[in-house]
Amino acid sequence: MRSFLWLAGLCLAASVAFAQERDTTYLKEVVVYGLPVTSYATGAKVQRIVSGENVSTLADGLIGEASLYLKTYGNGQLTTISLRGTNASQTAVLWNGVNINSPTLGQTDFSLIPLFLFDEATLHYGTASSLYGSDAIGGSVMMGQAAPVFGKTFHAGLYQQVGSFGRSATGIKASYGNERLHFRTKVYRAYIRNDFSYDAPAIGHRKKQSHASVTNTGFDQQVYVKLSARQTLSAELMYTDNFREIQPAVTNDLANETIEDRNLRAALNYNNDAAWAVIHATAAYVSANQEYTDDEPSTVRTGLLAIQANADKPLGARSNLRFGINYNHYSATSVEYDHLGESRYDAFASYRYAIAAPWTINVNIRQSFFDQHYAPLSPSVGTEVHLRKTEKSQLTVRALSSRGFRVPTFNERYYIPGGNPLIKPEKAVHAEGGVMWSEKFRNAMVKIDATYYQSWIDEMIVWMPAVNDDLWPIGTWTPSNLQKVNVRGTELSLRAENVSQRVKVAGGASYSLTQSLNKKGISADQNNNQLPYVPLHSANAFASMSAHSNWKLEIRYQYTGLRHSNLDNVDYQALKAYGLLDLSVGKKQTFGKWSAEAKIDAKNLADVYYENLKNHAMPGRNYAISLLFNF
Amino acid sequence: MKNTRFFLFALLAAMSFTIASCDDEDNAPKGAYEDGVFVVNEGNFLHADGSVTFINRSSGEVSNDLFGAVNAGRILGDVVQSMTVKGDMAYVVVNNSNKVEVVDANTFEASYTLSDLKLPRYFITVGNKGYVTEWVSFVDKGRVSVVDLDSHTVTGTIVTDYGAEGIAEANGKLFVSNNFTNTVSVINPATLQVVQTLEVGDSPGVFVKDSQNKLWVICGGGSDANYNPLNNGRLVQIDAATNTVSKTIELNTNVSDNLAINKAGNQLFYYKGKSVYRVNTADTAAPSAPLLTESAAVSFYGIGIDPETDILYVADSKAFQGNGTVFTYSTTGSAKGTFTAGIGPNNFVFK
Repeated sequence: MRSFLWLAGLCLAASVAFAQERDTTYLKEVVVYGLPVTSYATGAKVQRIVSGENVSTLADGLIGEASLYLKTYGNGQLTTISLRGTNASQTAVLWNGVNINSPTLGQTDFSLIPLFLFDEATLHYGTASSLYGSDAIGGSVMMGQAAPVFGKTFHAGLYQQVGSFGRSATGIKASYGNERLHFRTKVYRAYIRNDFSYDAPAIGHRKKQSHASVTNTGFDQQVYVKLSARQTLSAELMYTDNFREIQPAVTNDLANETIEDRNLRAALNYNNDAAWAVIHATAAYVSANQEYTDDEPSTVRTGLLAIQANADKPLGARSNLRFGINYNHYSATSVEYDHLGESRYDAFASYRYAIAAPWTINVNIRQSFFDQHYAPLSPSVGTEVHLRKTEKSQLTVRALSSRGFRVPTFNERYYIPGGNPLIKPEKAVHAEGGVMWSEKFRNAMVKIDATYYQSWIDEMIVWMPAVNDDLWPIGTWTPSNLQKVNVRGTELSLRAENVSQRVKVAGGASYSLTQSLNKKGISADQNNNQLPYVPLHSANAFASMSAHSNWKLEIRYQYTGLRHSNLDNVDYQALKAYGLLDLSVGKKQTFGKWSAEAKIDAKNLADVYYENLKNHAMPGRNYAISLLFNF
Repeated sequence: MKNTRFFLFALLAAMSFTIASCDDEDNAPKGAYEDGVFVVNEGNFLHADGSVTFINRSSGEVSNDLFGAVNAGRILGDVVQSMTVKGDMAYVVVNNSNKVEVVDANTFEASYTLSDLKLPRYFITVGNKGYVTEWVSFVDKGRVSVVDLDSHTVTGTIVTDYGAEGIAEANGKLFVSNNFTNTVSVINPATLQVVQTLEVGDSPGVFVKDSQNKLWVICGGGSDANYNPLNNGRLVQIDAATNTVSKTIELNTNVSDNLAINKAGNQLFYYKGKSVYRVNTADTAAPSAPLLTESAAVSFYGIGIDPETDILYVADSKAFQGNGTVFTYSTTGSAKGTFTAGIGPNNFVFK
């Protein structure tokens, strides 16, 4: 309630400040192929991470982003996200608008998402279940492809990388087509032996990592058909195979566990820029097959059939309405519960209105149903005001408040033994406000962005031994809606660059303060303690220089503060803060239609020993050389 | 930090005492951890954050993470399952690191490592031999490895049955509970042969020896294919002289497979959830009500009784969300105190 009042106050202040500054353009430019859902993210911080050039993982691509911690079980190993102080299952990961978090674990392994197969990743910070449904509490990550270009085209690219610890990676991509058809094909393979040596204080001597190799392969095929001037049909088929030896803790030898993940994702999209509305429909099938081998293999298979439809309709010159429905059918097969199936339905609507030229207000709402239950109703309201918007200068304030939820996973509800069918969804209330200022001076451009947010997360699910015999025998590990967490955070970023023609110099820094406090849980003496694996402080800085637009030198520094490994917050059990210094030098050369680019990366230059999960080694100084040819 | 300071203080105190009484070597303290109670903290699986806590009997001072504090931040490893003290050495069994870390029992300085074990569980010594139970894996039969304590090498193995767990020595024989089965294997250490297999009950765990020199093993009880408990936990008395089950006390419920015995050796203590039960070795039936129920606990994970003070120690794992709590009671169940140990306290060693 308090957050809504605060928001209303801010809107009022903004409207007073802007009463006299009306202008002409009320709506953003319409992109014909599939209106991005983020056009209804008014007031939110949305960041586009363009990828697709390098063979690397989503985990690699997100390192250093604000308020984001990646809990990695080793180099290229299982990586889960903590966005804005929340846990791994509180970030929605979407592909073609479909939530691809595992229905059994409720989370995504970010080391299994190959950036090479995508054109972009978009990071939407903060609670937004109104736009993305379940899991969008800490934030959402959307994986996407660029809009097709119809016309007689042929482009091809070859990427080759070799690096330390037996790293090799190859990627090939091609796009081709004509006025009616457009094809894109991508295929890649990456391998790392991961036999780096490290000096962990916990073992007191230098040691070579064993049993940590990772092999990734995959392909993606896209077909776009222009049915008419206004209608497009597209299909995408993506398959990835990831095999890895599971990197053991620093003390452990004789490890023999391996894991192989096979992911198949297929989608059919229909887009119609009809006279009355832009209509978009998707049918998708997402399957995951995970085979874990210890002494004997065990397999978990999950599937998701998703059908989604939405329409985006302009209502006059000042407002837009978007509404739609989703149908998702999840299934899972494993030894723990034979076979499970569940249907979920979502209905949602969004409305955006330009009160005045510089002032937009946006309301979204969604109701989800799962297994004959209502998920918490998820509204959100956001606003953005351009206090100043000129060619040279922009000052924007924004604010939003939203509710979010997470539908309990199959494991939480049906795992035998311990699953709790009575468990309720996790809930969150979120509010944030931010200000962005950018200014172009004669020789330089400066941009500053500041955000403050707060999230109140309730009914958070915790596994603990049963204390009575009601559901399962005493002592059986079972989940319940026990925990309450309040998150408070500040994000600051600064970027400056010169506007010189010959030598371009840019620099920037960002800092995140993330207080994620346990307010209620298993033990009262852990109240007000920081959640494990959420650094209170994290920061990064970069400086880059490019000359004649073909040489580029870049230095990056990334700082990750102390992280507690459990809810007791005792320093001797914490993971130490660390800073990583990376350097890259690249040169690009163009020969007519051809271009070639060579790049040398040196990472962790100071050879710092660090861990992102307790007692799991990360590599010291390492190098990679990449070559990229484009035609 | 506090622990380090305390350790230095204790070391200084020990040194000054040594100087003052250097002609009386037998009474000189051998280290800060000469007299007290050790708590074995298992740690979170795969996080390798198991540790050992020490409670000084006279001062009540608690020192956490002894191994790290004494050995420059080193860690014991993943899933610290148990510890055994023999003379001036302590044998710390680290289950998922497949090793036994051997330390000086008085100073906790690292001495040597017995490696290449497979999911080791419990360790005992008999003479200059050590015997360690090993699960080996979840699909192979468990075994006991014989360790020569002088040469620090494994000299032989004896295959028992699935989930080789508790181990005790009596009448010159070794008794091993096979936790994934309902049996106890009797081993002749001279021939390294299983000489007999006793059916005791589902999920046999820890052994204790009573005042009559009889062994007791606790059987946690089984469950059906749907994980419904069979409620057939029991206490089984074994006559080590005849290799026979001499008595069975049905508990009519499933319990944890941990067990403790009082100083006099005539009362057995076990737990379920956050309740501790007490039964006399002379009894024929289980108590209907618990001796105590700890409302402040989440779930008990370890139990022990100090043979010197007769104080009952019970560990609460607090669902591994943070450091566990140890509750102390008299053997009649009256509360004495609490202290914080490490993550997942599961065993007590009294020295």
